[in-house]
Amino acid sequence: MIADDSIRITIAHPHLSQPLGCDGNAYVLASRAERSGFSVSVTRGQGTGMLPEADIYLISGVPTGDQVELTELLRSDDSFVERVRSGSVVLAVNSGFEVLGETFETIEGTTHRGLGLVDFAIHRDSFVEGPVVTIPGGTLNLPAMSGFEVHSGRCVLGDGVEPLARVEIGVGNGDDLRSDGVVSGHVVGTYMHGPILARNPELADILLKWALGRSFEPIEKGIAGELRRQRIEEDRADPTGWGGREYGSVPLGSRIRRLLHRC
Amino acid sequence: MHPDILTDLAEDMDVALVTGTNGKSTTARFLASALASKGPVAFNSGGSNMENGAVVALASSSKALTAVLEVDEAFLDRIVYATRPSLIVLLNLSREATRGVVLTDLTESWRTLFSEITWPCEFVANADDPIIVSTVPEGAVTHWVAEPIAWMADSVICPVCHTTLNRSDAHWSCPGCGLARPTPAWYLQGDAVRGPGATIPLSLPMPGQWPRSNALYAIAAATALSVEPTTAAEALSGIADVEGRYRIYRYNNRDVRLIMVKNAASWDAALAIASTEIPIVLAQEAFGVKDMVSMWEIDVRRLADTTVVATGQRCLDVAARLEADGIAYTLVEDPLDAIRSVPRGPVHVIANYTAFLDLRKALSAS
Repeated sequence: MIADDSIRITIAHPHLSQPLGCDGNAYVLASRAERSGFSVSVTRGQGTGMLPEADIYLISGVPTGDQVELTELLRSDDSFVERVRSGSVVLAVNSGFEVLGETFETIEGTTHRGLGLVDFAIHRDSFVEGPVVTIPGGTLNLPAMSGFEVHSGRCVLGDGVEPLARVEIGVGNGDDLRSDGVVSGHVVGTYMHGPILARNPELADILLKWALGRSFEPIEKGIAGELRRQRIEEDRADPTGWGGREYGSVPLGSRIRRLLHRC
Repeated sequence: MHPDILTDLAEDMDVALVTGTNGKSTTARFLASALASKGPVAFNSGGSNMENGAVVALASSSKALTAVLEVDEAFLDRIVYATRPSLIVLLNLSREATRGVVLTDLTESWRTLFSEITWPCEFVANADDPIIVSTVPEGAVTHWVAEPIAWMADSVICPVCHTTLNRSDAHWSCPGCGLARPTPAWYLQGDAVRGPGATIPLSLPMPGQWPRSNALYAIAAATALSVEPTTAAEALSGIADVEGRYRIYRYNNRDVRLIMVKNAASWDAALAIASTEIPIVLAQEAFGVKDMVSMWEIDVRRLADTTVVATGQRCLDVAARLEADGIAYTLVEDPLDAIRSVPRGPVHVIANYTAFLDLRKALSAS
């Protein structure tokens, strides 16, 4: 894509984003790129104008009430759509992932036209919140990944469209394949938070490779590898995501959930 | 619980509510103390800030004619309708991941709620938070307070029309719909509180900026409820800690200040204490799948010149966050070991909710 080994990352419309730490994907990309010897700029595409041109666009989840607004902002931004069609990299999470497809259903039950960058359709179903562990392999040959999901979407992939991964723990796209997310060209969509790149540096390196247009020798996984091992082990032992923590004799998770359900 | 219990209990009381994302407990505690000169005050201390807590507070203070209730943001509507307050203190609203409350939905619900208040009710509200300002109905008697917010990510765009806000020094305004910063009547100036026609010296045992801001709201609110501002300020000068917050624990020759963080804005404010002299222990325990996301929302680079220790069940998450910004740290899994790992003297412990509960108990027992 680019000749001078510098990578421009744009965080798309962060003012709309859910507070689920997706900016962290930019920090991880920048950190791994810099430590691999590349220069990086991270720009926050604030406000309601056009996004700064980028080699990697990061699209976070937004509250479902703002999903249509996000879609229209991205659709009206010709440079964004054109750059993605001509190979810029996209990592889109949760409701930010959902708007990349052909259609998405909102929480009120109305169906809207998506950006049409990838062939899939989103429907609504029960709300899920919990950890995700994926099965190694898939199109990108990724290891078992760790993250968490918070969503009510179910993704029906079009014929021949590849998911990002299949899940061992979690709901993901909610299909018979037990898949999560999508990979199409240089576009990656997923329901996985974490932020996903913080626990899964191999995926960060793939996005950087696409942005650079060439391979490079990846740096060590660092603490991320240990963190992922710990979380996968913990989630297999206690798939509630509360790490087995107890409060008195009651698991803390159920105690807090009881409180929150009264909201 | 019968839905009318709270209504019945509050019927003959003058009720003041304190709500917002951060600062509720301290502000409510300050206000309750400031109002004590008028007589017994019912108060939900201990952070029981939903309906049950309100009922217990009112029921257990039968002689009180005044009540101060700290109220959870998401429960404000029920408690407002039940207690018909004469004053509502609105501190700030910002993003919070752990409970899944959507900020835009919450803001909208407050706007509707306040527009439906039919009885005399005044507001003490933050002029520097555009979200707060957008919820206060036009024409409502409002005592505006200046509390500059450091966490700006939730006030980039107008909360009403989504146009990018204009900012110039302290002032902000929306070029789209005209929403703008009201002129504050109350503000801090050096060591004094400035209010309408009054300059009141402020002397608080609690360190740092937050208690001073909380005191400002409490004094403004007490004044609105007919307490002399100097009397209110004097009442605050004896409060050394609120629920273990701000308290300094002596542990193993270390002076441990325990600071709780719950969301991006409180993380951001907590990291403002970073210095080269005093080490910081980041203690994070498991608290559900979203337990560590706030740390990824904030800028940790200000820790660059501080001695940092990552600890607790989520210490690897802390380490990954620090590593992404090249911040040096040491990893000590057990929080008490982590405190003992830094040199004798003062140490700041920044703890999430579960780590705060654990450490408050452990340090109090030591």
